[in-house]
Amino acid sequence: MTEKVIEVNSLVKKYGNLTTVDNISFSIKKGEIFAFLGPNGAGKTTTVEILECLRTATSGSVNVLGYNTKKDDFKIKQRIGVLPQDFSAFEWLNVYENIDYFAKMYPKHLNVNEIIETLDLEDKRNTLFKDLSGGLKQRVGVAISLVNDPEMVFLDEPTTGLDPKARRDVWDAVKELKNKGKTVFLTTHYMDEAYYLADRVCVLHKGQIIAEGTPDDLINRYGGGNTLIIRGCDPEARNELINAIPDGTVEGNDVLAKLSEDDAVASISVAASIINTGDFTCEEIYVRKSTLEDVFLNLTGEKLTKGGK
Amino acid sequence: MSGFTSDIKYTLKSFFRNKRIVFWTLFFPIVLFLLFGYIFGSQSDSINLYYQDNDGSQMSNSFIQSLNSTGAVNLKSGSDMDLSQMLKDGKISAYLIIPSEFGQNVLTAQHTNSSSSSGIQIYYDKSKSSSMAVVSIVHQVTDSFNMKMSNTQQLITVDSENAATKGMNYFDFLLPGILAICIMSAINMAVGGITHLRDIGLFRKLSTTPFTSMQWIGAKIIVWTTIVVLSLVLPLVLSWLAFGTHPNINLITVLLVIAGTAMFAGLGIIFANYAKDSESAVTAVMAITFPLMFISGTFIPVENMPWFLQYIANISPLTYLSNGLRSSMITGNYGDAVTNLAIVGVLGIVLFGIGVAVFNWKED
Repeated sequence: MTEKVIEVNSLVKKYGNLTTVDNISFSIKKGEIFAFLGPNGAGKTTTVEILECLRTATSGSVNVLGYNTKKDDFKIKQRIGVLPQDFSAFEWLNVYENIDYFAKMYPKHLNVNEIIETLDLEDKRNTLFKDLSGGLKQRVGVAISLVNDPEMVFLDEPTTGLDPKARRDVWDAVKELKNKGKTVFLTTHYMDEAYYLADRVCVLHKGQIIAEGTPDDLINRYGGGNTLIIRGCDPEARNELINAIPDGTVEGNDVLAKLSEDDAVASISVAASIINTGDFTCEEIYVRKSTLEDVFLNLTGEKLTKGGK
Repeated sequence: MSGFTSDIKYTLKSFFRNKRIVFWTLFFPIVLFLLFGYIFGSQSDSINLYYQDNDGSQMSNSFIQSLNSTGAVNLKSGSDMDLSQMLKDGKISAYLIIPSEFGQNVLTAQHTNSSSSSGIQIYYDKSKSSSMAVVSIVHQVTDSFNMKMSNTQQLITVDSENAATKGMNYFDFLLPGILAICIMSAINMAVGGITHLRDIGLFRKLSTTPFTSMQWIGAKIIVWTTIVVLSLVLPLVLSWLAFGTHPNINLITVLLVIAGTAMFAGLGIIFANYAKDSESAVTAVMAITFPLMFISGTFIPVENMPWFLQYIANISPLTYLSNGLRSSMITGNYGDAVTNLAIVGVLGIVLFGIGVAVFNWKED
């Protein structure tokens, strides 16, 4: 049986009359990348900060690496690594000095030069933190979260505000953590990030867990199926296609149809046949897979939005 | 190296790399010292007194020599000058006219044992603070001159007044005030440091490590004290080399520096704890410390200010620090220095204690 490194039962966090985290339970297995996916105000960061011993739970039990967060926070802190949301290091220290500063906070820590090498930061070793690009700053943040060789790494919105290239760099660094056997707890409001990185995803909405599973599992269960899209059709083709394909609809010059698992191949064959036999003009035909965005939309009726606390 | 020493080392490193902060902390006090020293110091450092001797007798010459011998004024002959116009133009603060037949009238009065009908005339500009000193000096010299003529033995009164005037120049007065302002910068360091690190999420990060907030505060009090002491060195060296000031640095001075740093750092920690963000915190602190800088007996004596400003000065902690430093370093009034040290010491213990008690980087 795989060891559980985090166990959360009936966790509640209230600020006055406002309930930020509403009776949630989940567990994380050793070596997996686990993602909290949810929009602004879903309670992701509050939950994660309770696990990091930064906040205190109103009720419920939280165990991290076998220790209770209320009683054994000092032991937990020695064994976890954290990249907080919107993290910034010391502007007037260089990359080496920033990593070294945090390394000295732990009784036992890794060699700073080795961490720099692992995160591919050798070229920027002597560059002041303030002069780094956003992606490199986050990579330094990841490096700092590893100084104590943690068993569990928390990454809170690690790619918010980064350009696509920088996001990819951070994703590679996170994948590398998994390869090294670390357990990673990721919070994000980017569905593509959760899909690409996570082994398991927990969808949070208004402080509650509304779905949990592997990304593909969630998409299959809640994504609403794939969509057949036939773009740029002439009017005659559109008429023929919506009559022939079940649940077909027209949007502009395009014909769209939701595909169920049973009739997907049949619907595609019918569409291709109509276009070929009728000698109609259509620009392209393809199948758009459902995403975690669709999952969230179908479960909540809302879109995932930028931000996230 | 532990987290404690690492924090001290890297905080000092960050400080010295930030040239803007280094200027405002270490060099700006020098700018203030020179600026205020030359603005106000030039008024009181030496008082020029122009005179016209319309008599030219041995007696008038003797009077001028008596005036000159006090050393309290720089006597300058204005025989060919329109002194009246110069006074109106604000170029001089006072001038003296010795009327013709002054010597003859004095001798006549001496022989007949009656008052001289030939008085010395002094014209002065009441708006200039130095003019009152000139009038006072001339009166004192005249009195002693009269006594000398009538063979009395009360010349000492004038001499002792002169000694007091020459004992302390404006740079002597200003130096402790500048040092007190340097110590007050601990409040800016505390407020700026805490709110900035909180804003950029560094406290959130630090609180997930085994390093504790008490260790952090301990490291910071060492860093802030080190920077405060460094900021004191430059004005001290400058005043010694350039203005010949010889401040007496003793145990009371050292204790005042430590207590003052604790007092202002404590205030800063309390402030930072309740401030929303670094920008509003720094602005609020500036709004308070900037006026205090001018009305706490740092640049001008509290007694010379209007009553309502004196009232504020009396509740300003900077006043007691400034007065204590002046008494211990310059005037040697150790009784007053100890009284001020007691006030600053109690405030330092209380405010720093409250600051440490309320400081928490956990976000609950």
